[in-house]
Amino acid sequence: MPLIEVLLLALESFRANKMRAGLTMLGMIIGVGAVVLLVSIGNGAKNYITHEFEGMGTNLLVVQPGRTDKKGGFGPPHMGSAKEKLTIGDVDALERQSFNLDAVTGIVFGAGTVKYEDRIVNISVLGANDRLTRIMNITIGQGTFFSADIEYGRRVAVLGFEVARRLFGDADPLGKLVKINDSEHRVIGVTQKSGQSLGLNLDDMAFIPTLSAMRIFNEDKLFGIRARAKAKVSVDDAVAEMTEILKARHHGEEDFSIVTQYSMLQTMNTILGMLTFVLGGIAMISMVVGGIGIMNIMLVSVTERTREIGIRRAVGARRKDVLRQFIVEAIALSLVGGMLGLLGSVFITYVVYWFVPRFDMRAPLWVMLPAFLLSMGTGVIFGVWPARKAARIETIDALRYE
Amino acid sequence: MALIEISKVTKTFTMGHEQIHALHEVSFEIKEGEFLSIIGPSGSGKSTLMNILGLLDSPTTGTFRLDGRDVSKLSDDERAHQRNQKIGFVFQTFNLLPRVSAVRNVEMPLVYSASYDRSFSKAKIREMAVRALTQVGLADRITHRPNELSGGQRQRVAIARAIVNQPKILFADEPTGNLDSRSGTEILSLFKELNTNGVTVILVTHDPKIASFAKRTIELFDGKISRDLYAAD
Repeated sequence: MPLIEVLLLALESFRANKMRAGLTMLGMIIGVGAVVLLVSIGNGAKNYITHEFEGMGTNLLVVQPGRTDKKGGFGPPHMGSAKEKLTIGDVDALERQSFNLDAVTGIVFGAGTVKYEDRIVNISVLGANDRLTRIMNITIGQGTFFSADIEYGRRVAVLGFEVARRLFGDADPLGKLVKINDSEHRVIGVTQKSGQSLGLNLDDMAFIPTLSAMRIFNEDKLFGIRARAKAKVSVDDAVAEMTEILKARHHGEEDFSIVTQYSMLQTMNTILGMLTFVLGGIAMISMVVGGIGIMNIMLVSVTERTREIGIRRAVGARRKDVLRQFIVEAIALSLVGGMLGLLGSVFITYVVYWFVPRFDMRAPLWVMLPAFLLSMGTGVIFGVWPARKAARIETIDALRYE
Repeated sequence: MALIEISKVTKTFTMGHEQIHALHEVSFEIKEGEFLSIIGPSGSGKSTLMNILGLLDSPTTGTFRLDGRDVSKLSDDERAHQRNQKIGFVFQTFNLLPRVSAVRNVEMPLVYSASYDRSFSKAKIREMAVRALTQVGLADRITHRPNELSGGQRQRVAIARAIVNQPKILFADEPTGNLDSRSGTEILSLFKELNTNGVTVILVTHDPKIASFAKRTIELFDGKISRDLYAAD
């Protein structure tokens, strides 16, 4: 019997049992839909992170005190021992000796209370030098950032857009004195509204010179060093050069680690890739449940249609014709269900994208193939047993079956 | 040459530890174009005989030659093929598919014929099915479903399905059992007409009145032939 004829038979039987076919397909719709949705979410997260990292420039280098075991690792460095200090001297050395770096700044970071008259905001305070704007892509909306000739310890501050708005409202903040952790700073600039970036909201921060921050936070060392490699320089060369310069200053010891944007991105992508895989795997459980639903219905259908099997066999159907009819029916059920699930979940991802364009979780094109193969495979795996049962029925018994 | 030739056919079923001989060394011949009835009380082995003659079952021992070919040891697939090409069945309960139209029911054997012969196109299959329905007088009921037809009409659809592939033999197992006497008589006349056109008809029944429509009657009792009579014309 030609395949097209078998397919028509399957459709005929669905039409006769619309409710049942629909409910059976629902299992597959949910199963495939869940797999596609979770994979899309994982994929969207990956795209989001990549995009954010790229927005910061892929030539960013981060020096952390302490040695992490793995090169390019993202783990916490063990901080604090006197030997492993990164100092402003290191920043100066990198600035002077390096050929590959464009901008270098030390970083001191802490929680700060900013006061103006009777208004108080609790924010993060970042100590850095004038190069920070280039390294972190900060744009100044009003006034200026620190100038190049700034003394590291001058008590000036650049406020994040949101901080300025909350402290001053519509008033002009430039030239005003604010108290940052009880130390007076003159506001020389306000950043442009920029929003969230990798969990760091520049609008909600205040920037002060490095030494000033060390004084406020009572620190004698830097939290880290941020640098930007020159545009045409390979990041690996820059890392090698920085390592040389810093080692020379640290008695030949590599008691720091340099993390590149690229290696961070890679680590992130590995984690997210794994996460996507795990999520997809969990969603596969629902596919199995959908498959069992199909098997269940097919078994019922075989029993119900024992007579039909008898008639078909009597007029000349071979066992393999019966087998094929029931397998095709199972595959058609799972495939139609699976494709509906695919369509539904793709639709959902586009709707989410439409409402939250920042998080692009639109289903990637390549999910179509696995979704198709998965639904078909489910049909085959869970359809074989009922179909074999159907094919094994003896014709004379089937014709007598009530 | 006889169309059907069986010799010393025995069929034994095992029920628990007991052996039941449904047929015991049955031998006879049927020539092409005969109108035969097989009669006997229930348990006499007539259904078993029909199953063997209709290639739905194989004999335990003995030989069965159909159309000159030994078919007693055919594989399951080959028996399906032979059934498709040479045999038509009509059952007491019509055995139509309830959800599809009359013509789709009649097309069913041809759809399987297409596995053996590629010339069975969709158009040809439809044409043959319509012709068979016309032959049984249902040309105007082609698209009706079985539940929209009377009992007699349903049995006609079943007959159309049985003859659509121009079989040599038509088996009818209690074909009038579920019909009123008028429809029953009509169906029997239809068999007579088909027989006149050359089809060998084998009627299986327990009712002597129905058996009397046939030209020859084989009576079974306890798995053996107790009588083999030709009606006087």
